[in-house]
Amino acid sequence: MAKGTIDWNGELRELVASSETSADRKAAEAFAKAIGPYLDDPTLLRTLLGKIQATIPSDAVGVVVGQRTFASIDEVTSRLSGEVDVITLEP
Amino acid sequence: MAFSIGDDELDAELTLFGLRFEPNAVHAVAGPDGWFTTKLSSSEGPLVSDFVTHEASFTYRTYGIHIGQDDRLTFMGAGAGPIVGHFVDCRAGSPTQHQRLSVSYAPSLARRLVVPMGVAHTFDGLGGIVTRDEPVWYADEGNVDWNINNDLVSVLRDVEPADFPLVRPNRYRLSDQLHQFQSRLSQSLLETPTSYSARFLLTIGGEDRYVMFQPRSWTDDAETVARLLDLPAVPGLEVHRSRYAITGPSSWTLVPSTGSCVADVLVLPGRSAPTADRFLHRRTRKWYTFLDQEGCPVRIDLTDRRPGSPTYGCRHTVETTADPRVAYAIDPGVAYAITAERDVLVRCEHEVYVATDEPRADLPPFGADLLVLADDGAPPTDPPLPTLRCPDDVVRTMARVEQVLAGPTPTEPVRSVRGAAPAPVELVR
Repeated sequence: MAKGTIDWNGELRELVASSETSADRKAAEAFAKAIGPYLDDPTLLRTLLGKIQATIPSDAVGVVVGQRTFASIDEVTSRLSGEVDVITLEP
Repeated sequence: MAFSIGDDELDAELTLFGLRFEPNAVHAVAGPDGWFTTKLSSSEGPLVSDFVTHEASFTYRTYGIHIGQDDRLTFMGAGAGPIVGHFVDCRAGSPTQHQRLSVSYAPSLARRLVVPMGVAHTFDGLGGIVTRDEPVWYADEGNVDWNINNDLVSVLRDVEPADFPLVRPNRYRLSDQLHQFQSRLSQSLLETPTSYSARFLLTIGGEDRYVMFQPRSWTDDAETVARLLDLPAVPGLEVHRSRYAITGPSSWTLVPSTGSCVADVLVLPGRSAPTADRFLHRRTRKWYTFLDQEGCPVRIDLTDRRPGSPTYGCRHTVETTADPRVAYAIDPGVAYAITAERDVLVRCEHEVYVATDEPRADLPPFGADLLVLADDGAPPTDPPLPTLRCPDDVVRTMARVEQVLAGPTPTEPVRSVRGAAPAPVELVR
């Protein structure tokens, strides 16, 4: 199941189209809207979903998230060394 | 203070709305000596099973809140003590909003813990435990709390319940087909193991914003896994790296290996010497992954019984060690016996074959094609093997049929399971 050998977009379109109930269709359309932008380049998806990690990415991240309130995202980034990428998600 | 759930309590509602234990479909297997003794089947629902292993020193530093995923967790194996689960209800408007609960319980194949999306959860005492998760996924539109690339919102463990974020769980449950699609996509992404990012709710410039922290590097275990995979080539046996994400320094989240995404859990009893018997599936390619007892020596004896194979009749032995990062696929027609010194939890995945000249209206249950070759000698005949690989949906249908055949889910603990369905065994001498 190698990356790039599966037509994820096409498969998803078929799954949305074949929804059997209105509830399934609503879920399928919402899912397709969320995942769609990633399917042209699935490498943008890292692992999908997410599980609780044993550790947080670094002690510095622990300090930052413990403080919680910042003037800007630059202030967050400046507190961290280069070992983590900081990605803000659109509200 | 945590309250305790007894070992016999398989069906129990907890005080946070929707948080509960449910009984699993687990059965004793009346197989021959050297075969698996217990089978944990898939639960009703989407039939996707992920597994999370936990190294001996495993400790969570955060709570996690799923926005689009109900967790259904079966805690398996033997840890150092009881597991303690800690929960905070973060669902905006829930009747138990921001209430905290701690529960102590023993691992058991016989029950699963359902953690509804929106309930923050973390656990102590997971060292040495393997959890099976059978997630149920939901999607939504316009939900600012949901991010499909990282469904989990993390919260540090020292935060007071009143300061946990309040979230809106997703509303629309995905069809089973979309569960399979999403799980297969996960498999594809995890061709190379990576670690999950962590997503926290921060206040930036006076506004609440989710911020994701993504490590640029993670434990590189490629060399270790390469050593595990470096086994002599044996006809009819393939050795694959499992698809997994890195959950801790030596802890992994395994996603399915096969397109059906269906997996059972089998208990292989420890034994000091190999059995003389060999086991053979005529129409099933079995994928086995040793989930726990990492480092325990494992011996796989194989005899090629595929008619027409250039190595027909040849015997091989593979000496390896239990490690969840490696999966072993045994072809139909190859007789085998697996020996481990200790009891091992084994993930079992299936690919099913039919013969091109045998259109059949029935679906034989898993295990119906098992032959026991008592003396490892040649049987009277080795008929041709089915060669047409069934679509993954057939395996999913077989899993559903198995749920029906097994009858009502047993409500007693494993030791007194009701409605046990021994695997059909045909003895060939």
